[in-house]
Amino acid sequence: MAKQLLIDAYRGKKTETAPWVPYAGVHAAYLIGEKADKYLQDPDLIAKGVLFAAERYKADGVPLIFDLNVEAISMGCQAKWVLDNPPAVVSHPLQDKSLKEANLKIPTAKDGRWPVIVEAGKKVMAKKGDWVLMGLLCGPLTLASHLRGVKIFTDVIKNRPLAKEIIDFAGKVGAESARIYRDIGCEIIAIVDPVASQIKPQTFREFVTPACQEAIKVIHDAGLTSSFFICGDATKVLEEVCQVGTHGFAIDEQLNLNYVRDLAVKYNKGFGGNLKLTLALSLGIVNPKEDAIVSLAAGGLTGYTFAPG
Amino acid sequence: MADKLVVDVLTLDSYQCAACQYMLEAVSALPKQIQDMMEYKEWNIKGKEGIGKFLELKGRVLPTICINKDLVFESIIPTYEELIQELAKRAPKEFADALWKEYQKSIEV
Repeated sequence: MAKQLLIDAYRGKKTETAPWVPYAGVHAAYLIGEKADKYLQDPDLIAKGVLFAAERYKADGVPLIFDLNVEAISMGCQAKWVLDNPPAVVSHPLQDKSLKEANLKIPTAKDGRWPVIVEAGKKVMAKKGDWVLMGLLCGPLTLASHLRGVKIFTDVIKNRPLAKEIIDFAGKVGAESARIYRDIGCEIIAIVDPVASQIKPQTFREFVTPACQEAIKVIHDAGLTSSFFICGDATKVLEEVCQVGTHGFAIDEQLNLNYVRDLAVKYNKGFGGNLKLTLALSLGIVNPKEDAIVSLAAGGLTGYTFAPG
Repeated sequence: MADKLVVDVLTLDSYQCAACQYMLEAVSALPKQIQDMMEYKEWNIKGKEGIGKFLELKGRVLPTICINKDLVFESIIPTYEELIQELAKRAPKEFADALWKEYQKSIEV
């Protein structure tokens, strides 16, 4: 467990060994025998789960929570809570209304689900060891999707002023989330935008990159470390991810780690992820030990963090 | 009655993955008159059925929208117009005319 090792890797520096981050998420609930819905609404359980996961996995970093619905639910999106996953947003307040008509407000630390998360974070910070508590905020396109629904993917082509208004607003919400995680004490803060892998590179540059800047500034002004997490087959937008302005990025299991490594080194970025979470750990199709060895070899020791995809 | 279009949405799990959620929603949010021309189903690869469908369709990435067994939208969430156009291209004549009309209408907006 080594906080500085992880920060160095996230900033693209050489490290003696590859640091390790299990994105425990609601798996931490499972580890302490709780259901996800109860866990995510109880600060004591979150703190217990995160601390347990960090020790159990001898981690160099663990997210406080991995739930991309916090911001949307805190703004009034309806959600379906389930026992084994984070809740899923099921209503989109901007589907047929403008931002002004919907009267959405940027949630602060006192609004919606944030008080529970802030309290949990403080409890973790008071007890944690030499590892990084990571704050993960919902990225602008994913949040815009929660707010507008699937129409946002037509808007970015056909109604660009509206798309920009919504995605920029989502970026401001993300910046406030970054302030909340900063104030909790998280040493690494990541913008998590899985949906940003599902668009064209020019759409990423036009909408996602600008909307991330305020959150990145909040993180960097505080002297903290930033990252951009993306899921899915993000190959087509990976150059844009490298240029978004964060210290590094993380990817999922669908990318070729050799390609990712070369691009990260070219841009002097930290990178991580890619362990075959689904193929190895969920489905058992790939041998997890072999996958780990191959990943460590491909990732190398410059900016690489060993982590699931 | 013509055979309906078959739309298979290959996902990791639309609950767990936001990219999959909105890929599925691109299909599930289509208007009723278009839904009536097709049958759609999510296949998440966390189960045996989903893995079987992924292999049968020769899926390459998640999420993917397949129309009549063609891998059409791979890791790219389509606009409304793009989706209607691809449905129209593969629809039997009975549905194709209406889909092309809807496509024309949508690109004029």
